[in-house]
Amino acid sequence: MLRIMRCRILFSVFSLFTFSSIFSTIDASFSGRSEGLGRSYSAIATGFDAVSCNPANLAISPDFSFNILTLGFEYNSNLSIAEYMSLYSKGYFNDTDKKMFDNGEKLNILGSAQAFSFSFKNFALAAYAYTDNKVNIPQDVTDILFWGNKDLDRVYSLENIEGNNETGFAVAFSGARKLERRGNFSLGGTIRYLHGISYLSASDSYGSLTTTFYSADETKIYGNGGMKTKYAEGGYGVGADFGMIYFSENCNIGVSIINLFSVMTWDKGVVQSDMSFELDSVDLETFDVDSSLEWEEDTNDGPFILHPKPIFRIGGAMKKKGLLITSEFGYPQLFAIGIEYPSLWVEHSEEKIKYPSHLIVLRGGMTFTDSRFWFGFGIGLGIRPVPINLDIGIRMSSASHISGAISISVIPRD
Amino acid sequence: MKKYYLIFLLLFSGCLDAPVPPSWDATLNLPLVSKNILIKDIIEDTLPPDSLSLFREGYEIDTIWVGDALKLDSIIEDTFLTLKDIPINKSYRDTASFILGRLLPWVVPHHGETIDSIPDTSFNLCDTLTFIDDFQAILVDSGELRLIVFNGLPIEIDSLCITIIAIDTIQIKFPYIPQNQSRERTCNLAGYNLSGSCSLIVDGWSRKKYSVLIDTLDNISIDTKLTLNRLRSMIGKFPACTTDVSLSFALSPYRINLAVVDSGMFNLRIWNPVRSPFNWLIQGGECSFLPFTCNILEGQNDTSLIVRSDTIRPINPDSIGLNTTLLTDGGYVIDTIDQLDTFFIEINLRNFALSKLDGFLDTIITIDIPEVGQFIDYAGFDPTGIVFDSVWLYFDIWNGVHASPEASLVMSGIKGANSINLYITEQLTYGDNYQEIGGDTITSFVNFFPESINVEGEVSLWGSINAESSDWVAGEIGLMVPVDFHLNDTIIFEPDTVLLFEVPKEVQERTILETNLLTYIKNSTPLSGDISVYIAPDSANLGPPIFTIDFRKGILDKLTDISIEELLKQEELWTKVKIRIFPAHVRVFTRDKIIVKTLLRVKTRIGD
Repeated sequence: MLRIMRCRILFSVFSLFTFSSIFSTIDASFSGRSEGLGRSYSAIATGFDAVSCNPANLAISPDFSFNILTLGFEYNSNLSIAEYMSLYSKGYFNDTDKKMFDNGEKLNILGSAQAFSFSFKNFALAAYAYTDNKVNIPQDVTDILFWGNKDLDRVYSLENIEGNNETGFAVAFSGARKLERRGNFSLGGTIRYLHGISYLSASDSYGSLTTTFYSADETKIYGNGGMKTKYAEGGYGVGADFGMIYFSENCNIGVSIINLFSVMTWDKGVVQSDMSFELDSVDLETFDVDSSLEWEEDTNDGPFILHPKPIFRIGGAMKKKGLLITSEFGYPQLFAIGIEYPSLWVEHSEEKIKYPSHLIVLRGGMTFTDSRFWFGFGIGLGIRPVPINLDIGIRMSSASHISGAISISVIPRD
Repeated sequence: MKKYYLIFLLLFSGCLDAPVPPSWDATLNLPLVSKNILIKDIIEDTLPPDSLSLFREGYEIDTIWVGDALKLDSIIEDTFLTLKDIPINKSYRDTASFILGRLLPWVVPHHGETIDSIPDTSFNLCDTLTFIDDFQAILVDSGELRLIVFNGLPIEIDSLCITIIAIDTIQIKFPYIPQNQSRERTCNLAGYNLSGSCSLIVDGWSRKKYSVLIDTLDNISIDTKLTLNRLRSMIGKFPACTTDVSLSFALSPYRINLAVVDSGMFNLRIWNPVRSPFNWLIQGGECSFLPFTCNILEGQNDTSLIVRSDTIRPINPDSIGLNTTLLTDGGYVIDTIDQLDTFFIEINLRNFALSKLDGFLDTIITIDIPEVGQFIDYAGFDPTGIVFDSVWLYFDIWNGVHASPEASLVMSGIKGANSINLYITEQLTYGDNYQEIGGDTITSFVNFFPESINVEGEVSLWGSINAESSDWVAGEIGLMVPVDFHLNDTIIFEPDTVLLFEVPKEVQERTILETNLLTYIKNSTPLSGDISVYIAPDSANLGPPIFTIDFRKGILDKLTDISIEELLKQEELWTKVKIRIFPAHVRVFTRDKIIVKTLLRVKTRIGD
């Protein structure tokens, strides 16, 4: 039996490219104070906050700190949250709504929740859950998705489609030690256990879809493409962080590498697919040739290993007349500066580390990064009725690039 | 479609209680038929085995890439600067003072006394002025010397003559200077030779007679201010200075509104006659490869800049202006610069290939069309026994350039030592250019029965042009003989069997909002016919066509509403497209054809 029209081809191709993968670097080091300072934090993060920023800081931290709850999120997209909400409330997208996706769709959402973490003297234990979602759908694909192949004589590119969803939790143990013979230096390290809950990615998309009508003698829909997908329902991994800090009465300089030697193995419910298609539209000219759709899907149930990219930070902080000025260079976050008034500076007394007590603390910051925040401005507030600390911080460059965190913790004062 | 929901679930999960699956309308184009019906194929069997076949093939013109023409001519602009073109703008001051005791030594014993009458007196004094540290000697092109003389003496000066001897002699006279007043004179120094230090000679006299109190420290001061704007020659250390130099180079052969350079070289050659290093800043905001800074040392300086993927957007389309600044912190050794020493600046743009051009061509650029030839094999047949009474020439050229190029083609028929030429000149518009040309000249050309035919020519470009290097011109030229053709029976084109159309579940289960049939027929023949589209759930019984449309000569581009929404609820549909060409007696060319295309356009709701 000859077969000719297969609308299924189109729908299948559309469906294929919905998700894809971006190899992730998860930076779940949210805290209310950090966000308010534009994330220039690695030189001053103390207590349980030091675990994910710079473990060496535990050597200059208060004797005890306890995190009741920290919630953080980061949202980056070419659409604002309000625009998404307007779409959500509609249910049906009219042409105006669909035009919002005319430049494709880029969406990053990172969420993190931390609770019951604590530090005691030079040691800390932290636990947090995270979810990281990234989708990048180029314009040609959103055009197909929302408009169909309505444009004749057009080549739709199926390249550069990427997406990733990774959810899990982590438990980290950190320790630090002062280098007595080296003066005001301390070294610190973190060992982290990662437990993956779910993973879904698609990557390496390629191909194109072409429709011809007026421009050629033939009327055709043809093309080829493919992508790799990975899915897993569970996994485990370990990671290590390293940090170093120089501290003095009015100045700190810290260096840290997060996710050094990290490895994540996804081994439960794994489905890896290498999908491809080749569509050669029916030769309508001769009326007698079958359509040719080659659809291949190679699946593999074996585990796969990911190596999260390290995060490098170098930060400085300076206290002057009650004002704390911080700065940080790093990768992937490139540059940040922050100010805090009055400064929550840990006094490095030889006998005992003192932590100042202020009821209200104001913060501001600026972040310059490569892709996530081009220029982001941070603002934060700390309310500290002893011994409770409530820190709220938010960073944003526009309504579609925003991150924030809220932290509730207990830090006894001397 | 679950994956689409997942996207939105990801967006809204945790934020809202009950996410609503989104839906939207999308249009799917599904091709149904694409058929090219060539007259040549229809009448193949009816063609007489004569010389018709000799002339029914065209001559294909090779693709002419416009990128080959999108080049800027090499441009060399030389600029010469002598010392006087460089503003020095330096000022120097010095002051000479002469006390009364020196002017009139005889009054020294009377210091503090009142003298009833000072006799007529004159004085002659000398001093040295040093106000040009930088130079040993200069020839001034423009500048001035200003003298301010203050008479602090207790007497009036009736006449004062100041002589400055600095290679050339400058003499300035003051006729009268009252007591405690000053007088000012300015001297234009253009053409004067000056030295770094000079002698100052002051001659004066006074005839006033009245009593005065003698203070031997009272003085007459001469304040000199030398301003040098430009010099013609100098000996000394070249001074720190800044010079703005405006340059421009003419663009050729295009006047340019906007051009994108694919590649090119920007060369600078500078001869610096001065023993002083310079920095040369070229602003030139009209070219994105500028601004550009280079260091200029003494003597020859060569600098090159490789230009890639840069934009030229001139303010004045026929030239590029450069605002440049030549600056130096000054020389380091004593230098001698005369009026023949010249800064030589050569700007050279070469090998500038453009990938995009929006501009205007003042001159004609021609691109040769490679010659294509064909030997005519008469296979032993003597064609001279045939006389054609009508032959047509056609050309079918695609012009992808947003300009109005002119194609000039020469078709030469060669027979032994004789030849016959056909000249075709045609202004091309953007897109398809098809024309059929008949007439006695062309008929005579064919009846000449050449042994071989060659086609050559050129494409000329001028006037407004908006082109990219990937634009091209190509096509075909040929001869054709019209055929009187009798089509006695209806010709039907249809597939041998009905074709299966699998309706995907995504379509079956969703709301079909609209179904249309887009029909496109391009018929260059006088033939007429119709096209019928059948779609049915039963392969054995397609029933009547759901759509039929007639076509005639010309172009038909029609979107027709067809109501097959219910049919699309079936899992499988069977389809057939039938084309009929009706009987006729027509006069056609063998390359005429009927292009038939249809597609099914379904507007459906996704995610509903």
